[in-house]
Amino acid sequence: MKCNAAIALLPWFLNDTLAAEEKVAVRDHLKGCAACRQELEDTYHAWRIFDAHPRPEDLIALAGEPDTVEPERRPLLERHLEQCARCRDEVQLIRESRQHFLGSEGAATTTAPVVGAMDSSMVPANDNRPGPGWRLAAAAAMILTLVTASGWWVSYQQRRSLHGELVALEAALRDAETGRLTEASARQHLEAERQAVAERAKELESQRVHAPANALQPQLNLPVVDIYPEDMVLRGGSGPKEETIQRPTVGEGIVFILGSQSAAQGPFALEVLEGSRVAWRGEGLRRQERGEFTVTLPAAILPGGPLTFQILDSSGKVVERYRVRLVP
Amino acid sequence: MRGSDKELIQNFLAGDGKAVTEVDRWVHQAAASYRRRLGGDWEDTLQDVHLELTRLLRTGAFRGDSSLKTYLWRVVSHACLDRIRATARRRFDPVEEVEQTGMLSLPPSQGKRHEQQDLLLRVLAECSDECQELWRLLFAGLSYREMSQKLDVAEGTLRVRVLRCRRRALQVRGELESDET
Repeated sequence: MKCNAAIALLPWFLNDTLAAEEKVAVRDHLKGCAACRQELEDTYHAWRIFDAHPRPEDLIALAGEPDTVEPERRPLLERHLEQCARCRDEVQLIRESRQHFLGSEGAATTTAPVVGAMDSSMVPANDNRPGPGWRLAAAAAMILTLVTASGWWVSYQQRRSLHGELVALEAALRDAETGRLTEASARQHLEAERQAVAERAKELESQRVHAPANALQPQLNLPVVDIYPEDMVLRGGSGPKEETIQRPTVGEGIVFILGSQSAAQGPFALEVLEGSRVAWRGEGLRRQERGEFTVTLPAAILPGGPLTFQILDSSGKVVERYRVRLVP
Repeated sequence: MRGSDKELIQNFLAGDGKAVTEVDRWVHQAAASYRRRLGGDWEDTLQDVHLELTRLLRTGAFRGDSSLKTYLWRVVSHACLDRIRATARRRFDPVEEVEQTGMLSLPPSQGKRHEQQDLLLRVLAECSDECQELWRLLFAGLSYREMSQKLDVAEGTLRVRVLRCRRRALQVRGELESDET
């Protein structure tokens, strides 16, 4: 392998996605070429640059106690947040944690706004991916259908409202436990609140898992992703890898188009699994015009990491599986 | 330091059941918002937090500048974010090999981690959105073929763009390091 060819492949050598023969060729070339080993070192240093993020303590300070952030460093951190969807997501998570646990306690919380809330870096490359026009039209039609759907009393906003109630009940639980009530009434209050919290948590969990897809609110610029069954072999001989997708940030979602290869007739159900846990289940899944399935999932339902999409027939038998990995 | 915080710390370190239960409850509550993202690492993370918190309280790291609850929240958040990032970061064998061979010449300010991290962030801020997107796809573990299809560019063009981004990033780093010295 010549130097130019080896150098061009170094980033993919580092992310370990080269075909076996290419990897061996690059490795053998590096053994015998000091100049290319220097290029590898440069590629590694560039890797560290592009993978740089503020330390957790910086984000914690920025999210919870912004006055404690050194003034000369703050512009650098805020600029990074403008460019990095992952760190914005983390800041949002930190704020939710602080609000949930500390409430109004703690240091002054003159919270800085999360800058760059809507910028192009949040939109994965998939959104610009040119595909057959009918796929995008099918997704747009589905979104419109979702917006105008009626008859479902459980909506995403209602789930958020329930979540807010849960947070408020837990706060009341803390108040009771810190002894702000008389002992006797505190015990009664505590027991009642524990039961209420447990019931609400069960209700929320049930709705989170069983809420239908068309509980989603209207959204702009949703990314559209094609995924294929795990046992499908693509042209060229290699099976589809686990599809890697950028996880949407809070308040957004993803439109999945499942390129089904099965001839099974519906009706179907769709389950999204995180390991063996059902993160979400939808009933009444139907094939679209060209046999594919579509589902829009909001960020609240999508944990990061590996997920499995399972299509089940009316008897509960798994018809197809799709593997997806959500990355920040 | 508040009297109630001091008493709780003393009792906790002495292994008093009520104090340990109270602190554990706080840890669970503080970590609750991170639970979904932690997934299967939840229990391990709580265990790590408990050990780290015990260590910090035992060494007197908590000086009472804030309430104990606020301090605990910071410790929990730090640990949860570290775990979330570690899980999300796909460690690639060649990267680990490169790091472990000792052949790398590290930048001069390697000894000062904060300054080094800020330098990297400053360099990154100077890199174009396109370059940052290309490398994000690399970190996500996409092959050059997958990136080429996703971005709808020829593979050769893609490799040239990534190489240009790499060179530009290192050039900027060199310039910023020169400015500092």
